[in-house]
Amino acid sequence: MQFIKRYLPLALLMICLGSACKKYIDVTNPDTLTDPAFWKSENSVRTYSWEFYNSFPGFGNGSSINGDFYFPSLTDDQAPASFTQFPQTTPTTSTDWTINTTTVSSTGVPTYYMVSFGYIRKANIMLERVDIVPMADEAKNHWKGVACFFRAFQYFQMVKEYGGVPWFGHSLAISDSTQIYKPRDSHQLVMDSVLADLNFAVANLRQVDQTNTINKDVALALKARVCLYEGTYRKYHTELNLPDANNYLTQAKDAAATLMGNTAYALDKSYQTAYNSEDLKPDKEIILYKRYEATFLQHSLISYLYSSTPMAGPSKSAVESYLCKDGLPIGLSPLYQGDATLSNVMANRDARLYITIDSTYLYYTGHVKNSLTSSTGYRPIKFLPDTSRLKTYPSGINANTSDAPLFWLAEVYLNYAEAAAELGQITQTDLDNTINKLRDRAGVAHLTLDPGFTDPKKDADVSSLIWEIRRERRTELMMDGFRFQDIMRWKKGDYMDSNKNPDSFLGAKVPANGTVKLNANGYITPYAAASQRVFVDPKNYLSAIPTSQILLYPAAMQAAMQNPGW
Amino acid sequence: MRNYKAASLLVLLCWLGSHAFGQVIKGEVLDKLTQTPIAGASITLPGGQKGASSDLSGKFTLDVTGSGATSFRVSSVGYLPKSVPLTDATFYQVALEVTDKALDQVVVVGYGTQKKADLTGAVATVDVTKTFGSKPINDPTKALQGIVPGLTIQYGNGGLTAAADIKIRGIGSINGSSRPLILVDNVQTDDLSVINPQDIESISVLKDAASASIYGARAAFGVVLIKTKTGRKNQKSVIAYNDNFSWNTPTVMPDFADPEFELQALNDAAVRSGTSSPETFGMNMLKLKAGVINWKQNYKGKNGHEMVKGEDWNIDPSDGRTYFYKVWDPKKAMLNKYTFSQQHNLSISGGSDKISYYLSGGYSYDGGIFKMNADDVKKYNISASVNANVTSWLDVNVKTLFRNFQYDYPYQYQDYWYYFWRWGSYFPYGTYQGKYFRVNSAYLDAAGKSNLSDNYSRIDLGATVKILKNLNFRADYTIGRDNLLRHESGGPVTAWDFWTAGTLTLTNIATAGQDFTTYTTGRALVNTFNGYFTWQPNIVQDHHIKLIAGINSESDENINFFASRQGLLDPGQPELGLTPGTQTDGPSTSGVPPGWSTKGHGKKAFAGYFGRLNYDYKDKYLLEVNGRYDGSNYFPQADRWAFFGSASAGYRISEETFMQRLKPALSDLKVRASYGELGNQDVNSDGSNVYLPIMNGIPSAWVNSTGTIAQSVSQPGAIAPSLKWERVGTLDFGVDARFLNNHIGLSFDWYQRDTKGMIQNTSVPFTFGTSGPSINAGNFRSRGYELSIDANYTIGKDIQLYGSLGFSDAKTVFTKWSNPSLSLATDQNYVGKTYGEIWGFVTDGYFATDAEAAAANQTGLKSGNFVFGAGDVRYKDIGGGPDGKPDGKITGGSVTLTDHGDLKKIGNNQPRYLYNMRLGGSWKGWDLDVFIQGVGKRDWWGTGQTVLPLWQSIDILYANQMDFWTPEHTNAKYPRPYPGNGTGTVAGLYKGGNNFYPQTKYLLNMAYCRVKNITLGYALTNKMLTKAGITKLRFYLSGQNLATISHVGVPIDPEITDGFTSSGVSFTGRTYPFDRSYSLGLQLTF
Repeated sequence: MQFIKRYLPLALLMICLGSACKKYIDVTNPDTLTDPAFWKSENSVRTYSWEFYNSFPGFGNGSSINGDFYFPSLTDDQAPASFTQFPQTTPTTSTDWTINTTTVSSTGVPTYYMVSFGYIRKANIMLERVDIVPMADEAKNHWKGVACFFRAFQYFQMVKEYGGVPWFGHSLAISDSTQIYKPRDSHQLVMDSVLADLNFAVANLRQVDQTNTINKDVALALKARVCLYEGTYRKYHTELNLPDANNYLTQAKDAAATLMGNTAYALDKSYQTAYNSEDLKPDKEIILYKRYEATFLQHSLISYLYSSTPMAGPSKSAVESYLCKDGLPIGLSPLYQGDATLSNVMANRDARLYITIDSTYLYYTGHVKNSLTSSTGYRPIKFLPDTSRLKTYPSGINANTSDAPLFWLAEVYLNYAEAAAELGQITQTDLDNTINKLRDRAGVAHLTLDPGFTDPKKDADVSSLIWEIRRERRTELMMDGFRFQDIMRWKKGDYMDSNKNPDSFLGAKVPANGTVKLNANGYITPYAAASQRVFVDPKNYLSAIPTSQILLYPAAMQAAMQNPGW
Repeated sequence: MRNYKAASLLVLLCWLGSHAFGQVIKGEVLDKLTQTPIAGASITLPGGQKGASSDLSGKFTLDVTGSGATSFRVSSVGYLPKSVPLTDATFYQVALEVTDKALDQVVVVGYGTQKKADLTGAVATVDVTKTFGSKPINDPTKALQGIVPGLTIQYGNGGLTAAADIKIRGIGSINGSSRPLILVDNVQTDDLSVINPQDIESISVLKDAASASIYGARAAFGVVLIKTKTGRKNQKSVIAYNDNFSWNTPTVMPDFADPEFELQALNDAAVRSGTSSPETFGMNMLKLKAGVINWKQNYKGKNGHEMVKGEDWNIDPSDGRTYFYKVWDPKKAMLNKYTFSQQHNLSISGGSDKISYYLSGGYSYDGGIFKMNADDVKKYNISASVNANVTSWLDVNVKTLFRNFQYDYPYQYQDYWYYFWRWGSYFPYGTYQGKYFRVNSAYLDAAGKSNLSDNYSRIDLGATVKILKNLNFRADYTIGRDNLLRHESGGPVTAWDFWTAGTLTLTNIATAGQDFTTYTTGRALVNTFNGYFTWQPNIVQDHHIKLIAGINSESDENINFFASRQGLLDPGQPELGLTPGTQTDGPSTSGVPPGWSTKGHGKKAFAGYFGRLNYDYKDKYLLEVNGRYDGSNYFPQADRWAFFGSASAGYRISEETFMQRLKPALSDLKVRASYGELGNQDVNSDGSNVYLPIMNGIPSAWVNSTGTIAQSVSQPGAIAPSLKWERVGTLDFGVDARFLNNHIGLSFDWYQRDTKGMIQNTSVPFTFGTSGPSINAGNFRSRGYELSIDANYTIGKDIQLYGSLGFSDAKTVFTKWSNPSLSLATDQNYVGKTYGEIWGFVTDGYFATDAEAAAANQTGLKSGNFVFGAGDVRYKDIGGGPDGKPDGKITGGSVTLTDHGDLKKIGNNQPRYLYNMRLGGSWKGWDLDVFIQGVGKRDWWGTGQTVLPLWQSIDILYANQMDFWTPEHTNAKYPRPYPGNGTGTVAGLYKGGNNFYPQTKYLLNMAYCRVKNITLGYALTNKMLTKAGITKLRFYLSGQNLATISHVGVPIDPEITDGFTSSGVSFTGRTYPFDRSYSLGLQLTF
């Protein structure tokens, strides 16, 4: 009895403790989220999705994140403060590429390769997990649509930069070595898959989830952008023998038409509103914008345009591309007063020019005001708030809070017009519904189906109408980050070759002051005469894959991994 | 005991008639050496039939009536038992010998104790008295350095809070820390500084898997078992006080050069690199040199700390730059020649026959070396333990431990060591108008005190239940808590800013970000429970069995966070409430316990069922089997539990009858073997988990509809489903022998430790979308041996001599590793690689002429404006051609095993051939102990300006670096100076370029032999003392690091491997120096 009294509790205790052990270590770290336990509700999915929005650099901060706007300087529109050449040699490493951080290479071209595959895996995991989250089918489809939207967006970025890359429709396991080391898929396969993703997104996305998030309209806007790109790319890059150019152009036109028919959107009265507003929410022209708020998220664009840092000024080529009020190019218009002085340049021009550059003063070495200088003398002012507030505007990195447009109606109009024109289906009504609305806002005479003139500067390869539609796109979207890829898809890399297009490396005509570099005709030359930008076809149509990446593949595959010319 | 039944019968028969019945004997038990009484000794008659124990004065009374015994046995813990024949006498004086190192010594092993003679695993014990006594050391880890063969303890620097790198038998895995499991009273205690060295009773080091496996997955690399002191029953109260006062001075540091010659050399080097008019901080070097010469001629010794304008310094009228001419002794200006430490410890212990107790308190202080705002560490230890017999079947005990650690240090505006060593002796260490110039001194002088306060406390409750005569149950529960609070604040530093041209202004030179105060707090909670049965059944025909079975569990919780704000209203009162600026991110180093993240909330839980069977037959054939079914929450749910087993066996040849005639010479000989396998869960040094698909919270770059940043989570990391624990298997063969009546002992172990399935990150193309997951890819194998020899001789009553020798070595070679390109880069491994190997060039002297250099064809190695020319290093052409023949070109090839050009293995950075030696003895009251410790071989590729001249830029040349090549001095230590040698063109090697690629000539030799400690003591024995109740009074002198033999090649201590690190480059040697210490102290026992 004594024995039992003493030891029974002990024995019981041991048994309890023993069986409790298994449970005892069933502990998770309170500050760690793990897959798949994380996927509990629709809100988990929403939380997971926010990181995708980092894909939109917006106005950027100029240092770690260069923006979509102003910073991409490898075009014929802007002359960067220091000479920028196309990449000459194949990069070996990719130390500046970090997963899930939007970085932009020094040339202003986003290096999406590694970044994008990070997002693509993230999107694939989202597609694979959405079904285990308890929510309605409608919600599941919406979030799958979000994942498809961003997967398509990333592949689109990558194809623009690298051409065909491996397409992954699911996340990979380390054991899946045939997939990990699969060869590059064709440009055609990837872009067809992108289109399929976008069609799924358009069909399944909600009309509104939360304010200013990915929805059906955003997907339509992206689809129009992607399809115009792909349609023209297939049409002009004949060396690739890609089919279905017209199908893409038709889909671009249809997607744009759907948005244009949506009364929720309308062109804003002012060309500048989209670029310098503190709050883009009320702007009916905007389909999606990047919101900036003090203390939370700020950009540096205005600081860069209002500091002693030399600015990447618009080129002579860019300034001269603006029409005169009569709808004629400067080479034809009687209203054009020449370029002897700034006021001559500015007289009787497309009003967008006055909004885009400072029409009162030229800023260059030896001719500095408020310590501002520009590489070309022309000072970009499109993104600045009105001058009365400018004096007190915060300067420095990450100090600005004006919102950045990401998808907006003006671009949709331009996509529509170009797609219709490239299809050969454009009508005067189409022009009036698109280009001429933009021209009304800019105070420029309408474009007619037959323009009625031939710009002496016109590229002989295209018709006058296409030339004028492309001009409209260039001037409307000046410094908005479209120009480089537009030139690429039109297969017109020579526009950026400073030997073939010297105006792209010239600035304003100014009197010699002893310090500013001028060419023989008195135009500002931002760089030494020997610094010429050379475009090599086909090499510079696509970026190089870093050799360190290629070396990870079996030797037999390596040759096919690199892009032509590299 | 086991033979006593038979023996007593025999004895009874033989001696029956010779002894009177009804006899009562009396006696006294004494320590043979000290002649002091031993309390609590047990006096037993054969067969255990009757017994007694000695009282506080060592006296005992035993009734032997009717026993028929012919002898009695006296035993006491820590002494050799003695059998005393019964004679006609009624009073017996029994002197017992201390059992140190003897076979009967009881060794603490996992969940129990074992007689040393019966050990079958590789277990080493530490002589606690010799290791911790009489030393100015308040952290047990420091004192353990070099004591146990196979246990390596390394400090990378001599700072007050330097952390030790502790390993048993060398590197165990390329992942994680390879640290042993350190247990204090069965509770994991990674930081041994929480205990007072004076409270340690015993230390066992379990080196092989067989001994360690009972502790499971945290014991993959061995176990250090520490027991702290408790009181003993039937012990007279003892009050012991000891103290130590120590003065410490750096062992070796570089000397600054005379700037007159240094500036010329810097100027020439800069000119060589293409600088037309070399300057430092706007001071033209040649102009500065002229000024220094002028100062030496006219003003040397004239002015003091306050620098006189126009004499010690001036503003150059031509360019407005500030010039500093005065030549300082920077070490004198900035550092204390001696730092001071002291320790005081007081303990009280004693016990009755039911209750025993031990109470102790300790205080220690260590001062830092900087003159201004020196750092210091204060430590307070309190511990108390009480054991009680509650009933005949229940013993309980309680033990508490408290440690308060205070580290006061100046706020780090910059790394003070880096900048101390960065500039020459002409830099302004003094003041002008009472204010410093913009140099290290200004920051250090202005720095406010930062403080780290760490309170560690632990309560242990335990009970032993005697269930049956042979069956015990032991349970103990411990709660440990560590609370840590760090307070750091900056503030303005007002100094003369001479960095920019123009007028010299008195201004705040601190950055805006340094105007802040921060509190960091961390709390760790550890619950440990152990419960186990010990069953030792009756002996059945010489078969002895002992069984242990139980459970062990531990749960840890840790929370760390900080608050930091900018904008101090008053730097003298740096409190959060008085700092109304913006909240900022805290400091990167918040000093959290090892293994925890710096921010956040972590939980760990471990549990295991363990068992051990000991079996021996006739004390001759020994067998031990261990098993543990172990679980850890570190692993994914499906893989949390695993079984680890081990077995060991021993054969005591000396117990065989045929060996008996050798007994006088060979007292004991045992061979043993063991094998066991353990899992390793310590695979990530930053404590993050490689087994879980973790999704990290991240802010997106998107403002959502609420107007704030949308918080997101990252995609989960990729985890290979096949990922398992690393498994560590150890095979051990050992021999233990004692010679010449136990006077000399020898123990030797050879082992092979295979670490299998070492975790390696796979390398995948970016298209994979995330970093390649970890897989169990690699194996490596360590082979090593340990030898220890000890000797003890007692010559007469007054003289006792002892000595010991330890030697160990281990080498680790990769047996499996995925590295298809066979790259030799330092972060890569390949099959056949010896862990720690260093690849580099072979130095082949200097070029005599530029033409010779041009012909040597090593231009591929140059970077920047450097051109190999006269006085530059010639690398030897040893390969690169077909069949590895010289190809007339110096290159690193593709730095792969198959194509390594002229590179070869030039060294290894792992310590090899570790040895220690102890010699000592006592004569009357005097005692002397000498401890020598060393490393036989270790190479180190040191980087940075302190070890390689002008590594960085034209900052400084030390006195030893003035030995450089000139056309007149071609047999120089260093090549012709050239600034900027940090980066080379051969990718993957240890850092270095131009003249300082990793190479044979400048490889540091970290081998050393060091007199770690000499202690000379004298114990007073005096009737007066005895009358005053003082049982012991001993004075001693002790010296640490008194002498060193080393040939490092540069004036840094051979143990220093650390240095200020920036952008992946370590400036070896720019850190706290190691000290030589002189101390004195006393030990007093009442």
